Amino acid sequence: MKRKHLSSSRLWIGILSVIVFSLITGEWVFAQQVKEVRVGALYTLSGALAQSGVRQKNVTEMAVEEINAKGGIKALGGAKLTVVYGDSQGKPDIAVSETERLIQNEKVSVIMDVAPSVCTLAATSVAERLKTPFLATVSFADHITERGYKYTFQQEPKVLEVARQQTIFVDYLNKLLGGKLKKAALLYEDTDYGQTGARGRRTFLKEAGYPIVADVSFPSRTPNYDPILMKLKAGDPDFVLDASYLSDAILIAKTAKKMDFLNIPWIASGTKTEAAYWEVMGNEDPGAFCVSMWGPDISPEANSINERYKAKYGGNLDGVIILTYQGVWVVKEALEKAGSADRDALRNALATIEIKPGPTLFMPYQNIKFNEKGLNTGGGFTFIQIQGGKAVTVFPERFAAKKVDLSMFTKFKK
Amino acid sequence: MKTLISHKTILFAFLIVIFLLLPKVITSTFYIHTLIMIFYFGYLASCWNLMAGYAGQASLGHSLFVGTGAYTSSFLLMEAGLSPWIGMWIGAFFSLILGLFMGYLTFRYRLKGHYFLLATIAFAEIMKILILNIRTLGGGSGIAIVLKGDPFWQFMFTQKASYYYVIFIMVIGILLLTHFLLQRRAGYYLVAIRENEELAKASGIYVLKYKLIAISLSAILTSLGGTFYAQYICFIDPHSTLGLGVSVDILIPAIVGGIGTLFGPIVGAFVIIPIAEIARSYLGGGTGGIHLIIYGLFLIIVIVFMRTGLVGLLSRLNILKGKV
Amino acid sequence: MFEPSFLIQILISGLTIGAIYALMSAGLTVIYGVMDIIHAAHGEYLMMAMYITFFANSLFGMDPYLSLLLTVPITFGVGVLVFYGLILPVIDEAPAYPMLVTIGISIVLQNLALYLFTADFRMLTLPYFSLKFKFGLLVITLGELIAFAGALAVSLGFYWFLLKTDLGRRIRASSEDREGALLMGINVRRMQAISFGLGTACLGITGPLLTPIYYINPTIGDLFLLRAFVIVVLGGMGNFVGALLGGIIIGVSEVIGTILLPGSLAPIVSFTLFIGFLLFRPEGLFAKK
Repeated sequence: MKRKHLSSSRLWIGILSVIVFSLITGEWVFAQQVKEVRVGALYTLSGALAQSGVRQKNVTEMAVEEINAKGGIKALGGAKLTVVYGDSQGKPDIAVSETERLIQNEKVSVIMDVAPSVCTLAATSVAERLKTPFLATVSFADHITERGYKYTFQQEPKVLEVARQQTIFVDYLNKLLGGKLKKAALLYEDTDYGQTGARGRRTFLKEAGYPIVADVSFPSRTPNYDPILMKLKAGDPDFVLDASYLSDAILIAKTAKKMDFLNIPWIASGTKTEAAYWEVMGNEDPGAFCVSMWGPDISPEANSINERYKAKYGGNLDGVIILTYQGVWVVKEALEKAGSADRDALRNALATIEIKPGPTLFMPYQNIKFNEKGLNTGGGFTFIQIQGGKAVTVFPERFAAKKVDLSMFTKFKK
Repeated sequence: MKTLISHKTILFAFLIVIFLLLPKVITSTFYIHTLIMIFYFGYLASCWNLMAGYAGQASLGHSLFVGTGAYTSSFLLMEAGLSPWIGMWIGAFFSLILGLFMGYLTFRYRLKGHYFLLATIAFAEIMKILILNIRTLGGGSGIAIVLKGDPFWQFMFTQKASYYYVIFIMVIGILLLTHFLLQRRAGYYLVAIRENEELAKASGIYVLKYKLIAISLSAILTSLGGTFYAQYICFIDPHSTLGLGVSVDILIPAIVGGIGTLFGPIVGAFVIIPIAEIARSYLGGGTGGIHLIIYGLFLIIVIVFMRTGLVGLLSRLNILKGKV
Repeated sequence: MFEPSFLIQILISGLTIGAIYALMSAGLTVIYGVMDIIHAAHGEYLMMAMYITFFANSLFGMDPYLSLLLTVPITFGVGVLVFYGLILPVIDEAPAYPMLVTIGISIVLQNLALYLFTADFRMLTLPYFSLKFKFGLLVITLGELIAFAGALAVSLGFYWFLLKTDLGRRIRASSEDREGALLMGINVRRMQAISFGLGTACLGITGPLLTPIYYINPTIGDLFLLRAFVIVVLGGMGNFVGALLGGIIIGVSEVIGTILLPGSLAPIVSFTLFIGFLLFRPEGLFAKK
């Protein structure tokens, strides 16, 4: 009887150990067999800003295909990335609803989003409440990372930084033009984007010693820019720093051109680097400058990405769309680092990740590293000039594909 | 007659119980969010209905009150730490002033029908432009509402279901208020004014006073809704709380459900919000705009073919008798 | 800044855009005058006409001004169809109903365009539009001049039509005194349908005229719509001449407002005028008709 008892307890121990062992390894194996990682993408696919939204979607698909073709997420046994799209329509309450849906119904592990800032602000609140990491790839309003949120990460540097870079670029142009750039003019649309930037520009221009002879704001979507540009021109500026959205930028350039006002440098804060602008206005607005973050011409790798995009979807990539492309790779790297699709693990991976220049860093940044507020500190800017109907990177010189073309700035030819 | 009333009351009570229990059954926050939006717009539409359906003054400027409520309570919260539970009444007070001012101007100068509609649009748009340009109120960037301290006192809840209960109570509140108002003399007068203003005046009803009562109630209640929105979405800006678009969003459920009926706006919200959400979930992420086309088509179809709204349709089928 | 030559430049700039506003508002005011409808989808007919012009040019090389032969009948026809199909059923209801139908139509048309043509901005750049005329700081291109002259000519022609032709008289009668017109044997409903079509046809004319000046995009209608409403009220709702003059006035006052005020507050001037007129003089500046 004793023997029987001993052997049955050994049997039980044996069975228990097998169960425990298989639970442990089974779970690990199970995790290894996660077939797909679901990523949410909150874009603006309809409404006035739909223009860029569709391109963002294309480039996301391209990045995902490339990642999956190269073996998916290796740390998760080759799990494939699946993107689920949401459309914020550019409205914050819909952004909230879509974020809810992506997290709760679609069970995504992480959300990426693209402008406008109002939607990002609303959506990140939801993500914070539902403890889901959120990567803002293209929104760059000042207070996205100022709310003490733990799950929000912002890839693009702030609006204020743009203003500082523009002033640095003005100094550079001024050297090329023999010190003839003296009087500045500001032209900006009247919402957050324009107003915040204008404040920054006033500060930096003052520091650099450029008096502002015309400071003109305008309501977005005005039909007639004649009086606005007449106000600007009346101050006889040597250069203009402008900030406007696509539809206004087109009309402003058209009006400025007919007024022969494009004979001085115009340095835009955004928009003109987008393919959506220069594909339409490239030949009408030659010589325009714009802040950018990338160009297909900054390196051979950049060019090949652009060629791949062009072959698939037609049209070119630009400094704004590429941010989304980069964002997908950031998510991929974070997943590799976390070794898990769990939201908190992913969040921690994003908080500690450092992406150095290499096969997964496509931006001309120092690196991608998020500080304790969730803001990427490794960012940098380039400047493009529209030459030959497209955007060409001209600054900083180490990324410049071509030199600055000064021929159209006839005001300074004596 | 008596049996009809008690049947209705039982149905009503039954529905309330079901709605109260829903959050226990539905766990997905997405569906709770949709329900909250349904009740939120149903609430606003009911407030609008008070003025438009019962007093006969259709306004396209109600976003003015939403925005005032949202901005007042949010500003006071973020700058002075004042609880929105108090802030919302201050906002309601400002809305009241605005409403009375607007009402007095337009009623005194005898603006009717189209003219009144257009004037209300203009008021709403002016407010939007003003706020866009006032930096202390956030300008174009809006106001972000951040949790600083005790959530309840700040009218913020960690559980979405809590927001659901709040808005549900608000909806019940306005339905009860409308119902009882109609039983009283003021209610009769309002309907008389709606049906034939000249006749009402000739009968000795002090038209201006009762119209102002209608607009006052409507303004105050709408404003409270604005605060709710701010505390729920935790972000407000001129485009989401002010302007013509928001005004249209407010009145669509009332039209769809039946203007001038008690339950019309709520029924309308139950129909139109899910359709918009479903259309967007299934079609929005793909080809741009299709879900909005459906939304627009639906609006046209309802108005052209179901003029009395869904409640009118149902009442003709003798299911619900909601019309006064 | 305020020397006479600058003021004249401002005037010219205001007049040019004012004529465009005038023609669009004339269409809107006729629709209101004859059937008491606030046509919220008015801007979408402009968008329709501009897309037709754009595709006629990019696919078939058709000159934009030649496209008038297409845009005018199409916008007229669509307007009449919409009237009979969607407006007529609700025409006698409270004012909010027809307006809401038109809001629905506006949503559908805009998003249909978005779906079909994407949100890309299109532009026509044709060589003969770069001819320019200078007035000090102001520059007017040939395209703008043609738009101005065209809009003015059509507006005046429309006016003559309403005043002098038999059909025009019948339309006016339907607008001024519906019951009287019925008693006179005028088919009021048909007059309303025709007026609606004429109203939308105004945009069929404006569309091709504007393509050299603006971009083409599903949301271009919104750009002008609110202004058109302000002008209609200013001129007196249903008052044709009022709309014409109102268009010019708003065009000029907008320009003045932009020069004097910080840019973003300029629309407030328009809206304040708007409310002022609604309150104190709803029959408009020119209470004749």
